[in-house]
Amino acid sequence: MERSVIIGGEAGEGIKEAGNLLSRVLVSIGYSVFTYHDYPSLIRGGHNFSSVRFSNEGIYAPVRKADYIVALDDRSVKRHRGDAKEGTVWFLDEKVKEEVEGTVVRLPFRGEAKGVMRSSAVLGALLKAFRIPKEEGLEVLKDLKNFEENRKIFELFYDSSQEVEEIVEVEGIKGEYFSGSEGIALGAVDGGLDIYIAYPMTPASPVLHYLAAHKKEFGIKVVQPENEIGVINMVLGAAYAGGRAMTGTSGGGFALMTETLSLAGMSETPSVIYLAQRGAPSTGVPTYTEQADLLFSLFAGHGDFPRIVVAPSNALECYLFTREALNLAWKFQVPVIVLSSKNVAESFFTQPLEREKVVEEPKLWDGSGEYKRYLITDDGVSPLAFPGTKGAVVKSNSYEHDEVGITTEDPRQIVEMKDKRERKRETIRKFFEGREDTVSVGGDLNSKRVLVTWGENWGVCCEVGEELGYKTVKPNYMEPFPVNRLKEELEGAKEVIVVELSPAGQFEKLLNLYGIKPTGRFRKYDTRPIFKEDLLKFLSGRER
Amino acid sequence: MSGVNLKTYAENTWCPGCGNFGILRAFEMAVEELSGEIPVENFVLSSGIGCHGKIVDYINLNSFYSIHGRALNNLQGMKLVNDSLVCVGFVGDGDIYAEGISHLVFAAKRNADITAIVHDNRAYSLTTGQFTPTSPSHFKGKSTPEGPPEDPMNPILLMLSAGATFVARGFAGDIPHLKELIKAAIKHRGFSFIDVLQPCVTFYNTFPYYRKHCYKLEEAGHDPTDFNAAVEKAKEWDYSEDSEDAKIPIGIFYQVEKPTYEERV
Repeated sequence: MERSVIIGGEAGEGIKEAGNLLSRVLVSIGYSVFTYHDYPSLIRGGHNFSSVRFSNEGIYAPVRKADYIVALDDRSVKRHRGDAKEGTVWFLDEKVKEEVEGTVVRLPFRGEAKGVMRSSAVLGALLKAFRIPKEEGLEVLKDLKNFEENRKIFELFYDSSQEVEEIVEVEGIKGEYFSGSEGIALGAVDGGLDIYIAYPMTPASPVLHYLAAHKKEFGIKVVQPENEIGVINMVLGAAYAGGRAMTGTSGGGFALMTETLSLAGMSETPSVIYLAQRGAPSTGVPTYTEQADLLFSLFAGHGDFPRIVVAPSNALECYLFTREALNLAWKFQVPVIVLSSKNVAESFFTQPLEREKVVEEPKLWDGSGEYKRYLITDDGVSPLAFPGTKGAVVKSNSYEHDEVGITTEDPRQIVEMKDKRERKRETIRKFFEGREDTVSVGGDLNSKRVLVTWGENWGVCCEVGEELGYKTVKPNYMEPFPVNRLKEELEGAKEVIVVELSPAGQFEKLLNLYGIKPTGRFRKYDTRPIFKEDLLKFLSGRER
Repeated sequence: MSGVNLKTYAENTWCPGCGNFGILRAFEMAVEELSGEIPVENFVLSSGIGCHGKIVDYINLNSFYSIHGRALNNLQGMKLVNDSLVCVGFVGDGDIYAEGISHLVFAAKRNADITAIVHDNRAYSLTTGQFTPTSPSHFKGKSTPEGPPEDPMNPILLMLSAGATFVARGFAGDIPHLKELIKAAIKHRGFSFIDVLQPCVTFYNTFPYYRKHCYKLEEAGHDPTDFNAAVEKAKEWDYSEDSEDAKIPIGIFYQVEKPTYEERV
């Protein structure tokens, strides 16, 4: 049993909130819900829509077609007429003039409810349609600030709407309903975050907002400095002083940080950068998605230095990979980039989230002898000490330096230090080598036809793979790239189709770099996510 | 020396007679005199890039030798996670008035509890002589042989308007006076700013001029708690004037107590 609901209207009238309220009710009665929020870069007006897809089996991807369409204005009808199926039920505001085919329920959404409060009206109408008891809705509404007002609106619409079909309670709760951004934030906190420092930028800002709203509860500091250059330098300062610091941004902000990324590499300062990709280049398409910062994230920064890039594809991975990212940054004293994209960051998933604090102690100075910040070691990792430690003088340096951290131009010392950083790169590579979880595998596991993808396309590839008989493979780490593990999964494949959101095929280029040659490609770059129908259509149209 | 070894083994590569030696000496003396009340391990220095930046290699204290223009943000990050640290930034005039100007303005605006000591030689020297934001319009640098087609900025006025709670000017040629300014700046809770007139003997030797024209605010009856008086004193010399009538005030222009950034975050 699977259904999908589109809710459309203007920005500022509770579209996203309606989608999330409905989703929370559905999750509470046992459904797996995937919710995609589509909104343009404006504050009032325009056209927003949320697509709530739910099933009694796990689902992790958006679909185009809807069984129910709620349209608060004529524009919503025009925009989503093509998303209707035969038998789609329409809920229209009573003032809507556009004609639609099929069952229509007309309700005074705009007449009876103001602004964001319309979300409660939509919820009332839909729960009645699904014959879901009123109490289930009230349970979700009671978390809202002005519960009483929302309750009145909700009940008014519940009582005046129509029943359509029964969406029964299903057994077992599939998980928590949370977004990639919330996963990133909670993962950071459970990885020992002390301070989050960020400048606002879509689609990374929800992490900033979430952490700022909960900073007291989490016992962390959250600050917003003057610009991304200021941000990343505060991150490095905080880390130098012993605080676990992290920032979040999108492509343009990350571009500003690259000079300091190189400083993080040279000074060996642990740092975590959450990079949420959006439509690019330049300002691009700020509230939509793309995967065209992949190569940038791998190669950004002048000079040679090791880094780690992790690429979560859903909310749970956002949690797990970010928590690990903080530990990796401190274990190896390197910058770690958590690379997501809008459809991971701002979509909501239903996944089991078992929170646990995992804060590994980094390699620390034992207090004996003279402290040398850049002590030459076999694994390339030098023990850490922090300012304020009696007997230690901690000297970090952006210039090439000797073991103590004093500037050097001596060729022998330069080579020693470069070799040390390269040994660290090798230490990191070995740390991941042989780890099964560096690559995820799904779909039809026995198939010789393989979809290889990364990041936000994982959910849609797995679902389509299962339906059409493709194995799906995804690296979870882009650096160090799990090339051997990936080749192991691709061995014997007759067809390797690379699925990505980049017109130039950045992921395919990366695969080529490691000697993997795909036989086909699906590249989407209209900055919308891959809807399930898109990939089904593409693969069904291929000659077998 | 009160048992504090502040020297490192790094070879000093400043030109003989460089104004930076005066700042180094004044700072060492300040640390020695403060070492009774501030444990030396709590000092953290940061510097930008330029001749000034080398100072952190020459002082045996915790340091974060940063990149051009960014040192003050490294210090603000440190202070946010460990309030017991005493954070001192050594920055240059090209470094923080050009490349890092936004960071300077915001450090002052938020009253971050750090100290910024600007080595203001009014020239890019490590890059062999171009004009900086405080070079006079008659400064004939390598990139502007006829002089820059723009006037200098007045960093004292800028800092007063940005909200700095300690604003001072020092002269690298008057070490005892500069030492006292540095001590006062470090002890001040909130953002402390000292623009240090630091002659570059190779590209812009202003030693004789400053010696002749500087006078001390505290000897002229200036009230550093009076903001309007501070603004008037800041306007007395505009970084362009080099006439024989010029009067260049040094000392504390303005000091006021306000809640710090770290307290408010």
